[in-house]
Amino acid sequence: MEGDPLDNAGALEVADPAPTMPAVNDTALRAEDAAAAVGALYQATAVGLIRLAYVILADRQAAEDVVQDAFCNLFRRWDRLSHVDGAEYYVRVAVLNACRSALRRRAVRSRRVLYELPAPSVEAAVLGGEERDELIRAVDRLPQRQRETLILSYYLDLSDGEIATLMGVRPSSVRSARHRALETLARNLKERS
Amino acid sequence: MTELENGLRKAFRAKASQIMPPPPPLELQPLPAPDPAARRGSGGFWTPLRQRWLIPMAAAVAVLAVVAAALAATSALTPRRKPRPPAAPIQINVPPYYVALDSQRPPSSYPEPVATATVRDTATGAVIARITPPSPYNSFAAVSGATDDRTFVLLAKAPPDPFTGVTPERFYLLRIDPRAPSASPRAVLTALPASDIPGGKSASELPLGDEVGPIALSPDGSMLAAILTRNEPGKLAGHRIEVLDNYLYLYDLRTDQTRIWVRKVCGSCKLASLGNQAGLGSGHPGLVNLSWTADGKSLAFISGPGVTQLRLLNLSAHSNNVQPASTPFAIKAPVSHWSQAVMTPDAKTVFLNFNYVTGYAVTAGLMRYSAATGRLATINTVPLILPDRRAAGYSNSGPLTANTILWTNYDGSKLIVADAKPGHTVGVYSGSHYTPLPWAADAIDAAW
Repeated sequence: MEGDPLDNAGALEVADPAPTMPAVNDTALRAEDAAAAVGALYQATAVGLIRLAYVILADRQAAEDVVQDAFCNLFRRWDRLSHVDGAEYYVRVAVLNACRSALRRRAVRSRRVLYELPAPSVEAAVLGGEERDELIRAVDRLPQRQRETLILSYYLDLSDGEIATLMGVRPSSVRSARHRALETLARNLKERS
Repeated sequence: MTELENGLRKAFRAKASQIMPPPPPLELQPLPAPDPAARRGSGGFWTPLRQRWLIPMAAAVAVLAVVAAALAATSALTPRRKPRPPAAPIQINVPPYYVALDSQRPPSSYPEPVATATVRDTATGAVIARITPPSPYNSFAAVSGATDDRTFVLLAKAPPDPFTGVTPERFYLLRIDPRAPSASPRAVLTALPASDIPGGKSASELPLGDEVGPIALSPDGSMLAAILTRNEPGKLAGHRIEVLDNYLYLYDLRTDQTRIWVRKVCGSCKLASLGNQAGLGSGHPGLVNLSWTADGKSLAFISGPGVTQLRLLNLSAHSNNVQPASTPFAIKAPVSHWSQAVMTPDAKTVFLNFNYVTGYAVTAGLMRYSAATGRLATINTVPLILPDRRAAGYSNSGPLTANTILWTNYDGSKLIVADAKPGHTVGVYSGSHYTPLPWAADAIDAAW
């Protein structure tokens, strides 16, 4: 590296580690590299993914667990990843799938509304948070595919093509689901007002 | 974009903003050996995180209950003994006082534990003063000390705003006078005006949402260095992500001036080159990942993860880009990813703390690197997970993990390390000789 006198110093030979240091075998190094790569990806993306899961699940602990599990699975399957560029995509799909599973389990437990948001605070009402909560509640009452389409469209600002890839459907299905979702939302909100 | 679509966008973002960094620590288990007969979903690896966390807690509660019952029974049956005289002070050449951050909740809880500060006697562990964060702050998150053993800086944090998600933070100068009579204050806390984050005179340079990471007070106590982290939108493999972008913030306590060094991160990030994502510094705010030279003219910082380097930054350089203004130490450790690297004030020695995996076993290593000879020498290895997957009994919760380096003297001949021995411990290495120090069970960080 330019201007790095310490780096250029050929005399700086590194002695073997002391005998008490066990040898690090290839498997260990691979595991370590995988841990470092997954850890770095986690640092870069975890907050965003937890937020995404939280918007879908409305449960912070469940959102954190979903993201943790997704990264643990990624770490376990790191060697089988065809190209590392796809890791972030893989983990995002894993989070979405896990959110779907969590919602299904929740729906089985309770055959009524999927979940209720916490009661809005006084401050939230002052700042118009009540309207936002009402909107979120209306989104929660939508069918799963429509709800996901709205979140991926308006929270993550993904294109129809990207959403279609993530959800495993055609772009035309994305457009259709979003159109129906917006229509339903507008109708429901109008009725309530 | 219709009004409804705008409303959706705002509603989703408002909801998402309730989640604030840092994320909970990622707990990766060692990779299991291939076992075709193993049934998916039956192993501990798939046990939900919260349940895994509860197992040791439940065991600890059970043990505490048994011990408490035994103590109660013993005290009821036996006459009360005279209190033992205080232990003789430990004769060791380290600063006589330190400031500890004491957790008020279990360190592994999330969000971060609430901590108060105590000034303690190094040799006896006696508490000399207790400091609580001034309102509206409810916790101290980091501490660093000057070499006079009287001047410290504390980072105070308030709970995050529920709507903006911003965590107000502020630096406080702490001056201690351990020998003051009890009527006089032994610890005086003063807010640092320009370091109000956000707000203060440098608000334009410290926008809302920036989080303070590692901090380090210069040896003479005149300059404060800190790593600040900012969430920025970025792209990774064609997908939009939030990028944690770090920069170095330097605050002159005498002139109230600030200076910032940057390393632009993730201009065109690809996962294959994780080094591009690396900012400055790493680890928990309390960990000493910034280390000053004795003359206060240079500062060592970790550049990582990915291609992890310890680089020495020339603070008199004109460039505000850390890359051309710094030079790396040519450390060629057998493990390339360290959790901590601390340079001695004479800039001749670096202490490295890292974990490495061998099969199922995980070990924490502490090594000494000589910049003059390039030699690496092992000081200590601590088994964290044994080959049969059992925990080895070393403390590995909260910000202090095995072999965490807390302080070093000028030439590295004395080194204070946390959790180098089983349990929640602190001790001094003089070469390879280890002397334990008194340590509070709820201490999560400390500065000498």
